[in-house]
Amino acid sequence: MAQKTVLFKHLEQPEIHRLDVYRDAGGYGALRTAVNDLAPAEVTQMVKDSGLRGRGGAGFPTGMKWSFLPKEYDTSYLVCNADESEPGAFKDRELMERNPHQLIEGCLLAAYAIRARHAFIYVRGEYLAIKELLDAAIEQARQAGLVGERIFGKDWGCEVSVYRGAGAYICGEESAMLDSLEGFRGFPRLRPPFPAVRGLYGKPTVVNNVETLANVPHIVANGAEWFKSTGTEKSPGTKICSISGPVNRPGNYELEMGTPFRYLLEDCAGGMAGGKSLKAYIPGGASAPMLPGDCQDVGIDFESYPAAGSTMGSASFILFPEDCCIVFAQLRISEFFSHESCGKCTPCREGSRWLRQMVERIEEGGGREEDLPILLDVTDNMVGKCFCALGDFATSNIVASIRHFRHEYEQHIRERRCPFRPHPAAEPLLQIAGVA
Amino acid sequence: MAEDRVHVTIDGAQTEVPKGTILWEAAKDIGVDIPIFCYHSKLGPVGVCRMCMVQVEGMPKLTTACTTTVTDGMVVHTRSPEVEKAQRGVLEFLLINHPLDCPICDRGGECPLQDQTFQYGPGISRFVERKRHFVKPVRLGPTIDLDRERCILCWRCVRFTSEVAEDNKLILVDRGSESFIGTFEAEPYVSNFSGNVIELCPVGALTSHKQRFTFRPWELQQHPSICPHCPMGCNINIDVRDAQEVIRFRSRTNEAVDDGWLCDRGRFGYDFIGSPDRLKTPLIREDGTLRPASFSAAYRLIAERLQRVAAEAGPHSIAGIASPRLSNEDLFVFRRFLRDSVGSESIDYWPRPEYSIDSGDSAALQTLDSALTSIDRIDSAALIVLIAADPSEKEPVMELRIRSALNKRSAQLVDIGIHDVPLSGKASAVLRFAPDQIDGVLRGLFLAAAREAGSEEFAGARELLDGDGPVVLLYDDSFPDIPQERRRDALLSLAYMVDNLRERRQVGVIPLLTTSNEMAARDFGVMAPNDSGSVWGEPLVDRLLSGDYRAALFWGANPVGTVAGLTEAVEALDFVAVSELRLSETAGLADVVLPASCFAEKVGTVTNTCRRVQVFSEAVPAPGMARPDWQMLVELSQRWDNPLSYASPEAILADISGSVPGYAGRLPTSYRRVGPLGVAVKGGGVEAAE
Repeated sequence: MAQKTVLFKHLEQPEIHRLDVYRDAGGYGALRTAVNDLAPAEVTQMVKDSGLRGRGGAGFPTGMKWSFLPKEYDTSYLVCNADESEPGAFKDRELMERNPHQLIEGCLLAAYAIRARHAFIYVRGEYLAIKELLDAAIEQARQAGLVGERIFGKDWGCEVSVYRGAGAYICGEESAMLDSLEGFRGFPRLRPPFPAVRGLYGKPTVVNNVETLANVPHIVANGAEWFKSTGTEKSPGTKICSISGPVNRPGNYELEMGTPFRYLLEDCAGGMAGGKSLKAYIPGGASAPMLPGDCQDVGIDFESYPAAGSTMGSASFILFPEDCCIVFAQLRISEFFSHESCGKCTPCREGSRWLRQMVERIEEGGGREEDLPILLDVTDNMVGKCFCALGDFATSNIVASIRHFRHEYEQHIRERRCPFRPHPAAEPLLQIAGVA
Repeated sequence: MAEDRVHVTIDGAQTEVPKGTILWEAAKDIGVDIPIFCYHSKLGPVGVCRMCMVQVEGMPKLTTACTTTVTDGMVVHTRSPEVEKAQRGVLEFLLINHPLDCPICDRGGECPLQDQTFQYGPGISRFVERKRHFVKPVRLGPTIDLDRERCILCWRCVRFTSEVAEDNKLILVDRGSESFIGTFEAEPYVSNFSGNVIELCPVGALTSHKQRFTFRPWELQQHPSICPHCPMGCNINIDVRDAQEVIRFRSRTNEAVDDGWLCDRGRFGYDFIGSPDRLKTPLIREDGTLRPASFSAAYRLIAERLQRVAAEAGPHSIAGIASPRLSNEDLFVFRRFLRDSVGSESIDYWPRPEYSIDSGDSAALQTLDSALTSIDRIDSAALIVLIAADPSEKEPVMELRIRSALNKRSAQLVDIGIHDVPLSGKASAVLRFAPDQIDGVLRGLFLAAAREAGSEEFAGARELLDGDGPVVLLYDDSFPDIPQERRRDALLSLAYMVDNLRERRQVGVIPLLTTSNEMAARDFGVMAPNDSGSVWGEPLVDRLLSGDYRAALFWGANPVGTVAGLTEAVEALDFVAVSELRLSETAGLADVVLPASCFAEKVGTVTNTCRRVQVFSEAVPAPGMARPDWQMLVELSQRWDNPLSYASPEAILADISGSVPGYAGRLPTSYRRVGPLGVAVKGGGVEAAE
């Protein structure tokens, strides 16, 4: 298993963002096939058979999500989650910047499968350039009769609109995203009802990640069996992995699911910069528990990372070198979650702030021996008790960093100072996380 | 087991509840206390405080009882070690940034956060970090001060403004642990219903600007009473300190009337009770100046002068005008005093609708009276119709009941009137017309020719009126927006409308009256003339202007200063006696003024807009020598040949119960049996329910 190019066609055809180049390469062929020859339910069935799982992080089977819509409805919506707000993640950005029509075709296919006549692409507020780029691509597609009324001359048509968020991590949570899209402040919604039943504007809605939807044209064009031939049995297909931190070639790499992390680090990213060793890494963005640097043989897929004590999430790898202070890194992570808690529920609102304050105090040399059990107990009072999963996310690295690097916390407490100061190695992380 | 019911086991006890019941409510029904902050039965579930977590067998993690719907066979544990740890955890979280200023907090002593911390909390805090601080207090508006540090962000106030009052005035500002309650762009929180958020707040964050830091809850005694500020009759508790001082009014839920809400006019309208300008003694005019006097001197003078006027010009030349804020007992005795002791039939109340209904048109009044329904019928209406009426102005809490019916029960609203009112935005059809066209519009809705010719607006209203299901019509029979000469026609066309609708649909009407006990004033015949029962004569105040009378009694009524030319007319009378709380404009012209006690200083009953008779109790002593009106009238009547002989207000109640049509046989003869929530008499839903 290794690198394989499915979604990252732009590496081979740099001009693929142009509609003519995309179409020459077979683009919109899947849409033509679907609209002309397949019933919506058949598209859903293909995606179900392919075993495609959500690329936003949770890994929920995409075809199953689509089939949760009620049997009968007049209006439904497709929403593409392009909020990409997880620290360490930058894969959707490249997918949209370099190959916008792949996403638009994916959106249209998904919309066709759920009989939606309007698809929304919700991009994070900072992606202004991407919004403009997508708007232009949608306009080109419209001119070509690929977006709007009567696509390929059939009765079905679909609008595609791009909406910019206003800068909130919570709006990456699908129900909060729907609030935001409706023009309200984004707060997660009570479930049930689930978005598939009552979503955007109270109508059945499917929310899928950019990378998930980008896979759909390929599945429809090449078939479920073709898709399943790549990757592992339970995690078929490829995965775009973002790797950041002090490596020689940080960036996005498309790998077959199941490829070991070591391959990503050594063969793709060129190993650690400056010959340093890897102290620890986070495989799935700031919400995924960190692992010790020697856990390099874990396969990048939905099963292997949980078995190793973490989660693949969005495959956003953040690397910490040997001279990085784990407590300081954790402080940055905790600052992020405290800042981004939406404040709706008590445990996340109060707990994420408290965790940040405690880690900060330890990092600043004011730690006490009793702080570690308190930190862990506070996380226990949050996990599974918050309104949405983001509360749990705020705890995962507190637990993991104490589990794997308890000695660093203890050293801070014992020496009443941070033994790693100054913190040169943390600067890139700080910039990537955007929490300086 | 019926299909629409499910079984649930909570802490080992089994119960059967209707399908769709919220788990928290099911537990409450069988006496299992699950602590809550954000949940409130009158507000939609939101699940934010996480205090009510319970363990449901088969669910992988704890779940919130306030957002979980009971399913058949559900087994729930509310006191397991996991649940108790979660409760301690949430309380610890809520308290880490809370100022813990219970010793000086207004809510201390009646605070759900304090109480639940004692019952379910961790006992100690492990928090040693810096607490979050906010500028405080923040004056949200004229009535409410907010302490953002005490706030636990339960969203109750926000949900009240978005779901109940629907003015969306309170919002959450900022994010995460920096979130706080505020208003958009920090505009003042001005609402008819702001005071409700004080009671909804489960901590001492939203406080009354008026009462902040002036009392401790445990000092207060509660006295059940009825709000005196409009005829809706919302139930209140009067909270009193040291048996002397009224500190506040609070809501006392009566589902049949107020649904647990109060408007600000009612909630904050108590200053008059302990006001320093209350009359404390009778006053007699000597050398042009009103001077304190004894009751016996005052009674002697009133009797002497009235008897002289009666001898010279006949008893009917003595006019009696009562205020419709007097109690049933006062109004009934006023009526009896004037007719039985003085011998005059010249009686009226003021303020009242400024038009008359001839005996030839009495059928219209009978139609409306027979269709009178109860307030809670709004809840089951398919269609609610406003006829030139603004509930928000006349009986504000009615607005909330209408909103609730429209939101929760898919009722529809038709607004037929001159101009927009706060409820107009909720209407499915709005029909506007020029003020002098009301008669033609209301009748035209049922006339084939007009129906064909009508506008689109007209067709919209008509279509809804043509539908199915029960209708409730609300009207304001003082018709303030209709020219005076058209008001009678307005009332007649309204009756015409009710008659026509009734042929196909169940119809109930609710009159939006002006003053708290106006319905009783009409029922007891305190309306001129009184010889033909339900027919309204020309307002007596107008006849005073034409010099038809020689003497007048103003019992709580204060028309001077409002009615043009009345000052001169009253000054021209031979004799004027006034009973009042304060020296009103009318009292200022009197020969004798008697000091009356107000509703909070006596026991009695009032009849609300839908004829529900409700009891108020004595909460504080009357100032000085002030007495209940009924008592002064009984004492005064001893100087006539036909004196009245009531020894207590309950004796008057018994007489009302025995003699007033519609009340007889329905109104119990004792306050205890009327009960804390009152009873409906004639109309008021009684007929409809039977």
